[in-house]
Amino acid sequence: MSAMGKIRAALDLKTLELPEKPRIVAVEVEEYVDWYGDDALRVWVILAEEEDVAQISGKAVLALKNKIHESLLKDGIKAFPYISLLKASERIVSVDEE
Amino acid sequence: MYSDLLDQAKSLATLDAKKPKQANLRRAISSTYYALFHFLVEEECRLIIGTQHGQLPYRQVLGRAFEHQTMKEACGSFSGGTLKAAVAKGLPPQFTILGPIKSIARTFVDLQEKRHLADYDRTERFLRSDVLTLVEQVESVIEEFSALAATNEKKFFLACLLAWKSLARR
Repeated sequence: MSAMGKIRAALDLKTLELPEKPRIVAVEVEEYVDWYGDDALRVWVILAEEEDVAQISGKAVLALKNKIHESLLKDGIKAFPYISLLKASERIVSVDEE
Repeated sequence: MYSDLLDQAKSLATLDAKKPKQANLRRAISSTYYALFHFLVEEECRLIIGTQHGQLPYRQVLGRAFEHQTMKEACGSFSGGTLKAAVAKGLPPQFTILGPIKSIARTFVDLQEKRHLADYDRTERFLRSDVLTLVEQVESVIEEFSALAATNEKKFFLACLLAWKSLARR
């Protein structure tokens, strides 16, 4: 299995056993080089549209991110995962945002 | 100061009712990072200098010695759950990196990167969900870390934030 295949397997939603809340619909990953030039990963955790972000506790965020980090470490993947939470609808770029 | 910075981050991230302005989200990320940075610096300075009010000037002066990159490197190592051999050499065999230490270290590394992007990379686009959940995450790691007893493991982690460069190259 390729390095990226191993990473995707470690982040497979079916086996990741993420906490039930907040509900996650997808986990996406890309190879990344961070600000200091270290090999890393960027991970996007896609929240279900019905999730109210204001109601997601810090503990829940932490549990989710720790689970992802630990799953990578368990499979020997040491690249640091920079994890972002978002909803798919937020990806639609608007010209008046700036 | 860190709680004021977190309040500021929340205000900035929720300022625009509909579409958030990138400038506000970028400043929110920066404030969130500095909340965690100053919290960790203060924790270590309290450990070295002391916690009394009269010792405040000494803590503040020592606080200027902390380097962002050194702190990132230390936190990167602690976040993985094992320290490099040069650092771990001589530590007691029962030494472990406790959960709240791993969590705060991971959060620091993640946020510092996002702070760099927020302040210097115009190609990066920030999203309100990510910013708001990061603020909550920082509140949570600070709470967990503060509740952790002042064990040798905790003191060693804080000391590494200042001494990592020298320790890691031995």
